[in-house]
Amino acid sequence: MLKSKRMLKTKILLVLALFSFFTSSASPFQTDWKINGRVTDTENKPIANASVYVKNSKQGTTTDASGSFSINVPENNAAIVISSTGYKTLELTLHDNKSLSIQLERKEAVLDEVVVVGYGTQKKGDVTSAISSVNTKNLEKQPSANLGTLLQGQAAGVIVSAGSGDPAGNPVVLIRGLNSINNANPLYVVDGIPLGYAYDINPNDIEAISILKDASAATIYGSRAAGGVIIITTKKGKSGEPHINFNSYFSSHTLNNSIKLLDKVQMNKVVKEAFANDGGTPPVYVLDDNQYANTDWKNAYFKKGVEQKYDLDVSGASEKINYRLSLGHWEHSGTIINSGAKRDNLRLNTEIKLLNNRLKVIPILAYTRFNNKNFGDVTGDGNAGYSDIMNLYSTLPHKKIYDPASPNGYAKPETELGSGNPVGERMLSNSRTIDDHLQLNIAADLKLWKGLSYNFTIGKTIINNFDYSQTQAYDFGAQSLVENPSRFESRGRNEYSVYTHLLNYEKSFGDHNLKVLYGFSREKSVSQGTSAGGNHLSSPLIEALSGLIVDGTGDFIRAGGWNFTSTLQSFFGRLNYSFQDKYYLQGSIRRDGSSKFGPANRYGTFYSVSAGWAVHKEKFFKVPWINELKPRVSYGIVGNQNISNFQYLAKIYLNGADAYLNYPFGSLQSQQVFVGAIAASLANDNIKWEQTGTFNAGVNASFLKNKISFSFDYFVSNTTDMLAETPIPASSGITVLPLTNIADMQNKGWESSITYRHDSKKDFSFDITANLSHSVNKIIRLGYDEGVVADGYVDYNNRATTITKKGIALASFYLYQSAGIFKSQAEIDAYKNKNGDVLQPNAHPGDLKFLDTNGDGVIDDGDKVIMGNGLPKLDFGLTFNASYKSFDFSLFFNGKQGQKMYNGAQMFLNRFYRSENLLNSWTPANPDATMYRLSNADPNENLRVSDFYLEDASFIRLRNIQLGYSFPKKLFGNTSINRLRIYIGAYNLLTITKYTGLDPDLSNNGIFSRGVDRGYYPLSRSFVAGINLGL
Amino acid sequence: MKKYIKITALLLLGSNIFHSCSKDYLEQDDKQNLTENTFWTTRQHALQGITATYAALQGHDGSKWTFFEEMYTTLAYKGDDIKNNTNEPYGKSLAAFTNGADESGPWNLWASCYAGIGRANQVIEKVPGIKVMTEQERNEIVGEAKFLRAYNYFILVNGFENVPLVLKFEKDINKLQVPQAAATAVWAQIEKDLMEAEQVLPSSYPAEYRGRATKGAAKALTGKAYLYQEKWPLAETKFKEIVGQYSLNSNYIDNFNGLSENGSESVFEIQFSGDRSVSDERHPFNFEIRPYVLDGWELFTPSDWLVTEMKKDTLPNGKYSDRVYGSIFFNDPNSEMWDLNVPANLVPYSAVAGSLQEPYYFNKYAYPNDRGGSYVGINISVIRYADVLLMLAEALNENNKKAEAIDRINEVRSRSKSKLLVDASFTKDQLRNQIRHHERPVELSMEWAGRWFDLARWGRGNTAKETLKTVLTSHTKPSAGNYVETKHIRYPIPLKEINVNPLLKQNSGY
Repeated sequence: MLKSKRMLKTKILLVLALFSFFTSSASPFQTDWKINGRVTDTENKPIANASVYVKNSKQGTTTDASGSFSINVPENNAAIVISSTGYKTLELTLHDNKSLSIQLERKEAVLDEVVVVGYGTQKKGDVTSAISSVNTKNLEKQPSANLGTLLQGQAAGVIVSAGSGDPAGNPVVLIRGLNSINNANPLYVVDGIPLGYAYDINPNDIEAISILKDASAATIYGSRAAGGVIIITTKKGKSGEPHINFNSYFSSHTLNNSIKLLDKVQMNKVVKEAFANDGGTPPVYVLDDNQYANTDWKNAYFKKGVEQKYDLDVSGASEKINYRLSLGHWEHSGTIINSGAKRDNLRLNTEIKLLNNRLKVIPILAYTRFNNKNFGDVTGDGNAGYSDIMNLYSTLPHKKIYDPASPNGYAKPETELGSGNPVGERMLSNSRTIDDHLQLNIAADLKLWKGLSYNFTIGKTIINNFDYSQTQAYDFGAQSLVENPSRFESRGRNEYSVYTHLLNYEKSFGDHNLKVLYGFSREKSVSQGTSAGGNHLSSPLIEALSGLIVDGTGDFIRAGGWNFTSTLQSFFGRLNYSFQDKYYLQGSIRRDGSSKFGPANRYGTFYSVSAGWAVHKEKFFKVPWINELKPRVSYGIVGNQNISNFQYLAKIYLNGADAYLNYPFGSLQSQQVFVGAIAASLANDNIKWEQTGTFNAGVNASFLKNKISFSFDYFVSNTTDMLAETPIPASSGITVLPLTNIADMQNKGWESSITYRHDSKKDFSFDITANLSHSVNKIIRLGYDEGVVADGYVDYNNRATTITKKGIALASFYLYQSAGIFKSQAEIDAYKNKNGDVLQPNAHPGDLKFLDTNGDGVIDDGDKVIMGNGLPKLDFGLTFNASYKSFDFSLFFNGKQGQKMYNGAQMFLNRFYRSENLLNSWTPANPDATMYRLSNADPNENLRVSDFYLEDASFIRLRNIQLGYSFPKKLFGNTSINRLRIYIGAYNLLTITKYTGLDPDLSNNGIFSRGVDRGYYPLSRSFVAGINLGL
Repeated sequence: MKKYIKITALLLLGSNIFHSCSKDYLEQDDKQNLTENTFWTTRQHALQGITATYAALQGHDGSKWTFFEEMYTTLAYKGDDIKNNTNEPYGKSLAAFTNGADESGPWNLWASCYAGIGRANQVIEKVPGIKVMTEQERNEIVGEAKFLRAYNYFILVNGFENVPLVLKFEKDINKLQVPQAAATAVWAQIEKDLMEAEQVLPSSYPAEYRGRATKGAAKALTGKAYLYQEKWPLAETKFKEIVGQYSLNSNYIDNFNGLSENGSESVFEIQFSGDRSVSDERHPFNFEIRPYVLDGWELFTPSDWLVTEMKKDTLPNGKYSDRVYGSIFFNDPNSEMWDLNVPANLVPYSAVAGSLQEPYYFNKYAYPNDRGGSYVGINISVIRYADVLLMLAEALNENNKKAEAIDRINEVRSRSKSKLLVDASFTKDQLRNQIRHHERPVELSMEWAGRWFDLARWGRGNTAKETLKTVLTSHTKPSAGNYVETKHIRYPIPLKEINVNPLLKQNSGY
C-alpha cells in the first residue's frame, strides 16, 4: 500500500514536469491602448471586483469599489471581457482608445447557476435529481457557529433537531427522515473529501452547500450515501486586489424555558399528602417547614451565557493564483456552570493555474481546534438514563449548596436528605475535550485534450482527540463520595486518507451533449488510541497521570486502548446526456469494496438512472408566464456500511479493565480479580451491504420572469437488509448481539420549496422562501417473523415507551391509553369487565383510568396501543429577507408539526415530587384536576407508560430575526473601507408550542428512542449584535 | 510531440487507475481481539474461559445493576419475607403479582443463566482439547463448568420451569432457536452434570483460587436438587456425605460482613471484591437495604410477617437470638447498624428511630467492610452450611427421622444461641411447618434465591403441598390478593425471548 502510494506521487510529479517543460510563454504585445472604464449594474450602482480581461490573453484587472478600472489593451487584439458573479458576461470589441461606461445585466435565469454535485458540478438547468442548494446568503445572517444548526429549515427535506443546548454538542441532521435503523446520518463531503461529520468547519468559510437527496444524485457516493449527502465547498479567493473581511458577533444567552419547581414548603406539603394518601410515614425532613435551607438550585446551576465569534479573512486572486486565508474564533460560555465550548479555525485555500491554464492545482489546508467542557447529556438508545440536568432538577430544596466550613466550600447534605450536591459535583469535576482536526487536500485538475480532463485528489484528515477528567475529592454523603482526587485521560489518533482519480469527458456534437465521468478511489481510516487513569492522585494539585498512586485495594491505575483500520476501494462512473437542451438523461454506477465485510460479501454495486424534460423549451409550449417547467424522475440504489469492524470474525472477548468477563477468586476480602476470556458473539460472515432503493419524481418550475421559483419532489425509498444488532435467543448464551441484515423499511414523502424574489429597481426589495417536507416510514420486515425492538426506556431496563416491529413506523410510541381520572370509588367499582371483575382493583379516587383496549377483561401489556412517533409529519422553514436603502431585515421561522414527545422528564419530576404541577393534583376538594392524585406507593401504577405523558411536540419557532444597516460608501471617503454593516438580532426569540417540557426540539442520536424526553441541556434564547467589515 | 506527451500522460494515469484492484487493500486484521482459531490452546486460555463462566454468576453483562436490580429483585421480591419499596420500579410488579411477560427482571435472570450455560458449554467442548495441560486439571476445569451449568439450570427450572435445554455452544445463527424441554429432562441433566462434576472436582483449592466450585459444593447442590424433587432418601444421603466437612461460623453475622468469605461455613458463594486494581467487581448491596437516614436507598425491607417470626426466635431468657440481631434492624435497645462514614460507626436504632420511614430494615450485607469507594465487595452466599443442615433436617423429617432432624436444626439454632427445640414438642407435620415457616426464613431470610424458591417448591410439590395464595395471605403479603396459583408460581417466559424464538410456549396465565 505504502509503496503504491509513493509510486503514484512520483508519477504525478512526472506528468507535471513534462507538461511544464513543453509550455511556451505568451508572446509579447505590440502597441497598447490604455482603456479606462466604469462598470455598473442596470441601476447604475457600481460593481466592485468585476473581472476585466483582454480576450484570449492573460492580461486582466478588476474593478475597484467605485466600479472603475483601467487596462492596457493591444491594438491588434482590441476585445475585452467583463464578468462578475451574478451578472451576464459581456464581451466588447474596441474601436478606439476611450473611456467606457459599461452596464452589466443581472443574470435573469437561475438556470445558469452551477450546482455542486458528486465529483463535479452541473448547471442547475441540467439537473435531473433531487438536489437542494442551500442559499448561503441566508446562512450568513444566522449567528451560529455550527453547520448543523445553520441547516435548520434551509432546505426542503433536511430535518434538523436542536439536539441539546450544550454549546459543545451537535444537532441531529436527517435527510428525508429516518431511512435506516442503523445509521441515518448523512455523509458530508467537504471539498471532495467524504467525511462522517463536518462540524469542524467554520460556517464563514462555506461557499456552497448542496444536499443530495435522491439516489440518482447520491449513488456516486455509493456505500455511504443512504442517509443522503451534504456537499460543502469552501470559499476561494475571488479576482482582484486582496480583500480583508472581518465579521464578528456577540450574543447574550438566557435559558429558553425552564421547568417550574416546587420550593421546600410546597414540596413538604406535597410529600406529606402523598404519604398520607398511602397511610405511610413521610420522610422526616418534610415534617418541619422551618427546618433546613430552601435552595433554588437552578439559580446556582444556570447562568447567563456569552457567545462571541470573530472571523477574519484575506483573499485575492491574480490570473495565475488565487488564495484565501481565514481565521476564526468562536466561544460560548454555556448556560450551565462549568460548561461551554471554544473553537479556532484556520483555513488556507489556494488555486494555482499552470501550463497555460490547462492545469489547476488546488491545495487546501484547514485546521480546527475544539476546546469543550463536557456535559453529561444522554446519547443514544437503550438504558440511556436521564441527563445530568435531571439530577439538578430532582435535588431537594432542603439541601444547602455552600458551606464555608467545608474544605471545598460546598455543603454536605444532612444525612436524612440523602447524598449529593449537584453544584459542588459539577464544579469539582472537570471534564474536558481538546481536539485537533487537520485537513490537507491537494487536487490537481488537468485538461488533457478535446474535452477530456483528469483530476487527482489526495486528502488526509488527521484528528487528534484528547479527553481528560479530573475530579477533586469530595464528600456529599455516602453515595456522592470521592475519596481521593482522580484523573483519567484518553488520547486518540484518527488518520483518514483518501485518493481519487477522475477522468471527465465532455463533448457536444450537434444537438447532443455528452458528459462522462470515470473515477477510482481508495480510502483508509486508521484509529488508534490510549486511555488511562486512576482513582488516586497523590495531590489534587497534580494534573498528570504521573501523580497516580495505589494505596490500598480500592485504588487502581488502569490502561486501555484501541487500534483498528478500515479500508474502502471504489470504482464509479457517471454519464450525462442531453438532447437539444430539452431532454436529459443521467446514469451513475459505483462499485465499493469494504474491509468491514467478509471476503464473500465485500463488494457492493450501486447504480441510478434519471431523466428530465425541459417542457418550457418545446415549441408547443406557449405559456408566457412560465419560464421553466421541468419534470424529472429517477431511480437508484445506495448503500450503508456504517458498522463496526470485523463483525464477520469469530471473536474471543478479553477486556482486562471491564468487569464483564472477569471474576475474583481467593480467600481474602478484597480478592484478586482474574481476567476472563470467551466467545460471546457470533461470527457472521454473511453480513452484506444494506441497500436503499429510491424512486423520485419531481418538478422544477419558475414563473413570472423567474420571480417565483418552485420545486417539488415525491419519493419512495425501500431500505433492504438493514444492518443492525439482531436480537437472538438469550438461550444461545450469546451476550453480544450479532449484526445481521435484519430488516427492511419503507420511507415515503415529499418536499417542496418555493421562492419569490421581488427585485424592484426602487429602494425596496425582498425575497421569501418557504420549504416544506413530509416523510413517513414503515418497517416491512424485522428479524424473525414477529421481531420486536422495544426501547425508549424511561427507567433503568424498564418502562419502555417505544416499539419497532413489522407494519408500523420506526420507534412508534407503544403506551397504555388513559381515560381521565377516577373521581369516586363508585366509578372504580363500576369499571368492570364482562365477568363483573373490577378492572383496576388497586385504584383509588384520583388515580388514572386505563382502557382495556383489547377487551380481554384485564388491563395488561396487551392493552398498549401505537400512538405516533417522534418524527415530524411536516417540517418547514420560512425565510424572509428585505432591504430598504441601506437597511436590511431578515426573519427566519422553522417549525415541525405532528411530532410526539414522551415527556419522561416530567414523569421523573413528578415521581420525585419536584414539579409544580403536583400542586394541582387531584384531591376530593379539587375534583377537576388533570394531574392524578399524589401517592408514593402508586398502587395503580399511574407512572406506567401511558399517553398521560405523551404530548404533541409540534412547534413554530422564530429562529432568527435580524436588522442590519450598511453604512453608505461615501462616508468612508478615501479610507480603504468598502463595506461596513452592523446588525442586531435575536435568536430563538419566540416558540409557539403546546409541549410542556423543556423544549419540543431537543433530541439525541437515538433511533429507537427518538422523541423520548429524558431532559437535556436546555436551549437558550439569545440577543445578538454584530458587525461585517470589508476592506 | 504534444500528442505524444498527452498519450504518455494518459497511459501513466491509466496504469494508476487500473493497477490497483488488489484485494490486499481490503484485507485488514483485527488487532484488538483473539479469534477462535488461536484460542483454546493454552492453560491460560482454559483458566480465562472458566473465569468467564463464573463471571456470568454476576450477570450476563457483568453489571452490578443487572445483578442486583434485576436478578436479585426477581429472585427475592415474590417472597413473603420481603416488602419492597413501591416507589421504585425494579421488580415492583413482580412483587405485586401484576407483571406481564415484558418485565425486564426475569429476562435478565434468564439471560444471565444462559450466558453461564453458553460459556460452560464452550469450556466443556474446548478444554479437553488443550493437550498442554495435565489431564487432572483439564478434568477439574470441565467439572467446574458442569457444576456451573447445573447451577444455572437449577435457577432456570425453578424460576421458569419450562426452559430450553442447551448443551452445545451453537455458532450457526440459524440454529439458535431451541424448544423447551420437559422439566424432568432438565432435572436429569442437573443431576448428571453434578454427578460428573463431583467425581473430578477437588475438595479444596489453594488460597488464591478459593471460591471455585469444590466437590462439597457439587454434593450440596446435588442434595438440594434431590430435595427440590422430593427425592428425600437420596437427599439425606447426599447431604450426609458433607456433614462434618464444614462448620458453622461462630458469629452468625460473619456470613454477611465479608469477614469470613469462602470460610468454614461457605459451600458456594458468588464472589465480589473490593479490589479494583483489575476491574470493578463490587456491588451496591450496602446501599440497597439501608434506611435513607443511614445513606441507603431502602429498596426493600423485612415483611411484617418475617419480623413477627423473628421475634419468636429467642434465647432461653427470652431475649432475641443472634440471628435476629444479625438479620434485622428494629426497635430494640440492642439493635444496631453500621453507618457508611469513614471510619464507620455502629448506630443504635434509637438514635435514628425518629428519622426512619419503615419500622425495620434488613441488616444482612449492610456492612461497611471490604468497601472500595462507595460499593462493597462482600461475597453473596449461594449455599452455606447452615442451609445444608436445614435441608438435611427437612429430608430427615420426611424420612421419618424427626429426632435426628431436630438435632440438625438445633445445631443451627445453637450457633445463634436460640432456645433448642425439643423433639417431644413436634409432630412430623409440626416440624415440617417449623422448618418451612420458621427455621428457614429466620435463618436464611432475603438470601440469594432462597425464600421464593422454597415457597414455590412447596407449592408445586406432593409432600404437604401448600397453596401459595393461602401462605402469602396468612403471611400478610400485601399483594397476595393478586396471586393466581397456576400463573405466578413461575416467571413468565420473557417476551423478549419469545419474540426471537417462536418455538417457545408461554407459561400458563401470561
